[in-house]
Amino acid sequence: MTTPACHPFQKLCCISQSGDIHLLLVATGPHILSLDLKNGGILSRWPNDAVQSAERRSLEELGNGIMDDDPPAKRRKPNLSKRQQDEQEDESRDSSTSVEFVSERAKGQRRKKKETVKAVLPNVSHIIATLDGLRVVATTAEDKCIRVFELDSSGQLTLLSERYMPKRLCAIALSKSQSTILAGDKFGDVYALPLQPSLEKATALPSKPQLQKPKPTKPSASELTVHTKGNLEALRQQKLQKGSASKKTAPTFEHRLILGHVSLLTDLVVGADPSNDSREYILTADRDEHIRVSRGIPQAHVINNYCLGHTEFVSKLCTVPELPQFLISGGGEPSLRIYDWLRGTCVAAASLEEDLKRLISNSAFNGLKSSSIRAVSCIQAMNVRGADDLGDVIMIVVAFEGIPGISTYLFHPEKCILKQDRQYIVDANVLDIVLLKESGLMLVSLDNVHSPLSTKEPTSHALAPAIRVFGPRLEQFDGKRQFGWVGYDPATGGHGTIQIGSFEDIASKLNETLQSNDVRHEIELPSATKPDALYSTLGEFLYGLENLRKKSQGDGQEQETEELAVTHPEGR
Amino acid sequence: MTGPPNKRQRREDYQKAQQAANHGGQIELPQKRFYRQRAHANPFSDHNLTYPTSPSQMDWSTHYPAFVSLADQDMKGGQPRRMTKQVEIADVGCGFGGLLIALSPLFPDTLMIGMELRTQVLSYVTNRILALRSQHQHQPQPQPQPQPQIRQPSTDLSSLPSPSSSSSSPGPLQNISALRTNTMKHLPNYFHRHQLSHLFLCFPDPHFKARKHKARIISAQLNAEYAFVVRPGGCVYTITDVEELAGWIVAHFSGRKVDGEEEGDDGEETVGGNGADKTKGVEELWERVSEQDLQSDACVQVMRDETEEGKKVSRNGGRKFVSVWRRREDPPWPDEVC
Repeated sequence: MTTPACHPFQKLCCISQSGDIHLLLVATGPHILSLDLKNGGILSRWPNDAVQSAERRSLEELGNGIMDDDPPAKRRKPNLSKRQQDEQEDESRDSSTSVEFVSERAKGQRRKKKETVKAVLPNVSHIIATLDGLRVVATTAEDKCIRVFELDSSGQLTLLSERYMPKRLCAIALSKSQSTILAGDKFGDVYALPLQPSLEKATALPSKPQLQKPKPTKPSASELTVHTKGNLEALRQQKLQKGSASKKTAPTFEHRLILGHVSLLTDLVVGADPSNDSREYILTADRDEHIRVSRGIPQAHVINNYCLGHTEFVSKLCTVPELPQFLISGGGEPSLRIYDWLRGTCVAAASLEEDLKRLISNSAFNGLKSSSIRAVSCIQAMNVRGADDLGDVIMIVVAFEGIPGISTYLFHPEKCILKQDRQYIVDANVLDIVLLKESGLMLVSLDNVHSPLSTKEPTSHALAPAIRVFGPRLEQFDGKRQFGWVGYDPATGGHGTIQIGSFEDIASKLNETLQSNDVRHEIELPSATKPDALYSTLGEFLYGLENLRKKSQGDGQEQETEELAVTHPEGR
Repeated sequence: MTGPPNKRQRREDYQKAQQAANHGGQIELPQKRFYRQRAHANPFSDHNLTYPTSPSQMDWSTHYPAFVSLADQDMKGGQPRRMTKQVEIADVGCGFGGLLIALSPLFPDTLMIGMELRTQVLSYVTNRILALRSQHQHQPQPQPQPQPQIRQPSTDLSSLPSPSSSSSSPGPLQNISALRTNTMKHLPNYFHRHQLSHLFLCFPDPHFKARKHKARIISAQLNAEYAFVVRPGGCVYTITDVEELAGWIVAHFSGRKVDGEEEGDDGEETVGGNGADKTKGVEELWERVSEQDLQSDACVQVMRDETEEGKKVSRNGGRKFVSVWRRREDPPWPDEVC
């Protein structure tokens, strides 16, 4: 098949609405598709073509007209809301009255010539839904936007609000009341935003926050605090300079900074206190191995405890509603740890290095040393009942970055035993996994553009984007009846025997739908970049966890000596 | 450009000479000029640090050999040795250690730790403390063996006979030590909840530029972390010579914007509040200690006059702005109120 490359489905989200409506939201590049999980049919696509072309137009206008506020390295906000456009126009009009701004603008225009403005829509980075399935929150990477949609029973997505955050978002969750969005960003800060932006708040705030008062800025340093010749000269220059208005505009919508790490935030979940229904906690993980347990809003500044023990960045957090006292965390070691998070104690831990090695060697693809380390990129878990001897157990499904396989674990909550269960090999790298609680289905989205085990080499043969469906079954394993999954093979259309329900039907229909042209978002195949790069450009977006790893000892040493060499001349 | 290599050469020569001399017995005080390092370190970079995964993994025995629990002299199972006392005073950004050395006799039975990110400065402090310890041992009550170790905080000093083994009160300066870490990132790796009674933030890097404000050691986000390690009733001591930063400190601990600083000035916000919002932020965990109480607090005096920066500011005729914040009890949960 000589199909052009298509963007894989980077995120999946399953939704159940009342009235037995089961939908699947799929993100492919900048698009969100909604699919019916009963018949596998496609219900809607956002943004649809009409919206899209309008955006393209407005983008072109933007490209010709107004300057951009962003630093040059970053891509512009491609689809500013009408309101923001107006603001920007106001801004440029205002600016013509002020000398500083004219010069600023000239700088901006010069910048524009060098930069080729690409009409690229921002890629969807996260999708979550409220418990009732009526609202969907999606974030986009490049324009740092939080969008809230209404999802009706026919699967149509209607955009309700767009809010542009100051920094790129790394994690998103909803409070227990489902009325507040918690959004964690690259700078480690977590903001709380109402799901429904309050209108009066937005209008009460001035539309052009800082521009009306170009007050003289006073340098905070003085002759008493700086002493070296260079610094004193810099201070003198600063004092001569006329004050300029701060160009940075804070978001105008209601948002509150509720907590922050001095590190990149990697994941965020909301934990329920099992002993007190009215209390919730916010669990945040960062690149510096911490998991922080804070009280829920409005007291997120009260830290209850930390869950420590990871020796590499924490990449994913996961909780199970049926057993809310446990937190499952995965990291870059790679390892899996289970915490009694309210006490901050680790009740079970497992290094996944061996399991990763086995996955790599079983996957029957070449090109990766068995010593390669990959981080846990996805954790999903559900309570499994009815397995013979263990009673209630938590089934944990783990995917590693850029690995074409899944490893599953069983955690027995009473005995606090965590053990490896099974491995499932698929034919491309796993990007995201969802578990459907009711039907027990497991949906796995696969990376169709990179070759298996690689996060930068393009595949030799272009595949259609794919979601692999796994059906549940109880099977004999180790002489016991146990819960497991069996994969649907789209090539043969079968898989073997099934004992719980039948899922081939939905699997084959879903497969058919995904083969059709209207779900596709065409892209260029990633070209192999620099030989020492870890990721292709697309891989950077789809994966990127290895970038969180701290530099090796050797590099650190270098930096140390550098620091030494530039010691301050003062005091000699 | 002859500067840096010469400097490094001289530094290395000095270190060698020091080490050689120390084997002879008494350790000499280090000379500051061999330990100069630029005043700023980027708190966001990784710095190749080593730190414990959790407070219970922290081995304090090498820092305070006089306070190692006698019942637990053997290392077992990789667990750090138990101590008779916990660290209760932390000096964040201890610099050349003036505060610690001045505080040591004021709280002889309280363990204090200086935390510093700059390697050179840290090795100066550790050498200085070791030298002072050995001098004290040599002068008033001679010990059977000097401590030959120097400049390696990681080596096991506690293999030496600890001065406390005979008497209940350890020798002077046995209660202070310093380690290299980035407290903005790793404070919870060292201290349990509510472990500290005093936390000092003396003359922090002012980070004048607005876009560097996130690097300031005092922020609404970090104040929540200080509230975690400082026990209710314990205090955070701050001092600075930069008036704008003093205002910033007050604003971030009290939740009130002070004069001159306008709201939303550079997109700054405090945790939990934009402006007149009724919900309280991190400021509900702190209350300012009154001016009168500060008069009687010896720590404030030490902080003003004994720190290296404090002395430098006095020399240059600068002003010092002190504010001390007491940790309140955790607020009740909303469901406990009604």
